Amino acid sequence: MAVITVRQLLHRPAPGGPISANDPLPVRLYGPNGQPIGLQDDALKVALSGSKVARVATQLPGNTTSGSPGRNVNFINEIAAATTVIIRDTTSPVIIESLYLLHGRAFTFSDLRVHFYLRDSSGNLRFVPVFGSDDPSNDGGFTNQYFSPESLKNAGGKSNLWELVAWNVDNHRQAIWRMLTPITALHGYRLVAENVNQSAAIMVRFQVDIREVLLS
Amino acid sequence: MEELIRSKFTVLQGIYDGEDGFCFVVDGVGYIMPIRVMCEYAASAASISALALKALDPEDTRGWHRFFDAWADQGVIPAA
Repeated sequence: MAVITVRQLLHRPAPGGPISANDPLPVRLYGPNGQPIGLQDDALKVALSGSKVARVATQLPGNTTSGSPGRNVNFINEIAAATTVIIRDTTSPVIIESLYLLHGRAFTFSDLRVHFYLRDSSGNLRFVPVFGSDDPSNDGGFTNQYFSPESLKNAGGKSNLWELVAWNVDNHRQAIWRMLTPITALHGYRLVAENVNQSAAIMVRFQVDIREVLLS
Repeated sequence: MEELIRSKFTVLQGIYDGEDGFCFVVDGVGYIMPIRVMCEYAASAASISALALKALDPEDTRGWHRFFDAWADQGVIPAA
């Protein structure tokens, strides 16, 4: 494992400085000559000198079928009726650098819900609420704990966590949506997809593309 | 069916708007499902076996056949 200095690795706006869990955005890593690191075919782990260590994840565990190093590409051909698929569940501290959801073939958009939870320091799952879903009868509570392509479409394509990048309005065939911003999950996170239809599977090619940077 | 689910699977209390769900793994992927939905489905089955449960939905519209097969392979329910 090659050890490279922070200044060699980080391409980041002023004022710069070492990697910090509280300063997770400049996570794109570059080599001394400006070339991106972590996109080559070979496994790559990068340690920063001192106690602050960043590691570019290569092959992540899960239902991986293909993909370049550092990416976890899951293909789900269907989501069974009334079933929640656990797409990713980790307790490792990570920065979710990018997270894309892609699906094709016709289905009812409102049948699909995606739930995203951050873990707290005790390992409990804390859902990320939908802005605007405050429950007046429950102070601090929210009515919606999920996101769906249908709600995103109705909201003009954007929510506080997800953006509907593109979708086919004809028969709800394809959609691409992504997480709006990198998120630091210091104690891990869980991403699940739920089919709320209790009598029919969603026959969809559902692809999730996550790029994580592990913090350790 | 509910007794079997609660004794054989990990139960997540209240995960579905207050309803309990149960967890299982098929082909390395984790799933969660409401207990009530599975109990309602299985209520009209001739027996609690993979064969009988699949017979309720012969076209596999729900996509549950592979779950029943996996549970039979795992010894949770009999195959027939």
